[in-house]
Amino acid sequence: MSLIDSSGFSLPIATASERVVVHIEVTEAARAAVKSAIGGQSDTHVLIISAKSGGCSGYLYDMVIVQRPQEEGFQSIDVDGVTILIHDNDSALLNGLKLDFKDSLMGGGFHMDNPNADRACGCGQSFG
Amino acid sequence: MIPPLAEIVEIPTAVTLVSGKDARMHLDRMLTVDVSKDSFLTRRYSLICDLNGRITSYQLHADLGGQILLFHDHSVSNILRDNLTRGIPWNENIEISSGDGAVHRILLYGKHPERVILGLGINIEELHGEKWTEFLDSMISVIHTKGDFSLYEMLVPARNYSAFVQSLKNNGAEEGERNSAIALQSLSGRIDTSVGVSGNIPFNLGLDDLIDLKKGCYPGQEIHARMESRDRINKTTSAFKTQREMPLGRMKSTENSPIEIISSQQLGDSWINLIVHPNEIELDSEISVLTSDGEISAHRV
Repeated sequence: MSLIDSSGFSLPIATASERVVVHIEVTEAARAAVKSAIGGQSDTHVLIISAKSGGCSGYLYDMVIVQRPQEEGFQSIDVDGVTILIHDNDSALLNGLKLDFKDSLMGGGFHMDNPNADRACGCGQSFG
Repeated sequence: MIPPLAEIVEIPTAVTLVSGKDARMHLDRMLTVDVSKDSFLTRRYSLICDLNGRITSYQLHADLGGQILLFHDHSVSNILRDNLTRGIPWNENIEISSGDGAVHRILLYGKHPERVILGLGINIEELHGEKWTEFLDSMISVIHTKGDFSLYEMLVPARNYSAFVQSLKNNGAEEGERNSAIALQSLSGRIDTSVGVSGNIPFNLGLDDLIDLKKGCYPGQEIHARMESRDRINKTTSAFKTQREMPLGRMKSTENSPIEIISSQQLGDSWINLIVHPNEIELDSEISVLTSDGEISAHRV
């Protein structure tokens, strides 16, 4: 027995998240960059864009290229043969997102323009 | 008056359990302190702030490895749990549960509470403020040991609470009062998590040690960094002794300084008050506070 083996703890608290049908815009530069990053693995790998807690403004953007996940709950967007996935839980936060890419040594990389963000961090990685 | 031997009191607390393999990382993204290197039995305090750098919750941690218990005031339960359940990414394993009532928080305090601890068979030398020490199904740590009083803190599962309290009494502890325990914490320089601090800037409460500007981004970090770099930290919080209870809230001193009283707790014949005040107020100084009941003289302690 330990401190938390006792009864009295609730079941995990679930927060209902709004699900919306996601539309995102991917600029030509971002399309090229995504295709380049995913290489010849577009049949098996996908780009997942998500939002997680933290950052100066409350949420952080996260982008990962992974093998197509088995989990359900993703919305799929096809961009020139590359699949971008956004989870339903993030759909309300990321709907309308514009994904851009700047090819620059300073401040280069992917950039997000999110119409749902009231504010954004100076570094561009956080929004709220 | 400080109890000559030892008193115990339960401090009502809400309990939130953050569990899962990514629990610590999830917390670290939101907290004002770096918990990424915490480990089993780490004891620490932390804050979550809003985007304007103001405190939304103040909590005490008991890290149990993959499970982290947070002890906080009931008034912040909703906002804390809401903050913790938002922004859990698809590939992280994190669960938030309420443990209200499942674990009790006890403070043991007085001039010689060590006698009670020793009576339990615990080696005082093994207790550290940054760690919890396991004792049967409970945990114990130390808040303060300097000067003429000591404060120890215990976390006890509800099923063992009565037996645990009885064993403390069998070793000489008497029933105390919440006011005294909170007042002694104020004198030791620590604000108890049951004191309402929401809406305040951490620096103004003297909680600078709970702000880590090197850990990277967290909500409110930009504001804190700007305040620090522009030397805009012009308030702090100190304990002041009065001969009567102070009303809580914002008021002015007779010198026209804006102050805020966030806690007023009776200790013997006096009250120990936590007052947010401009930095200029000198140590050992005396101020007069204008209240709706008249002027109250307060001595900094």
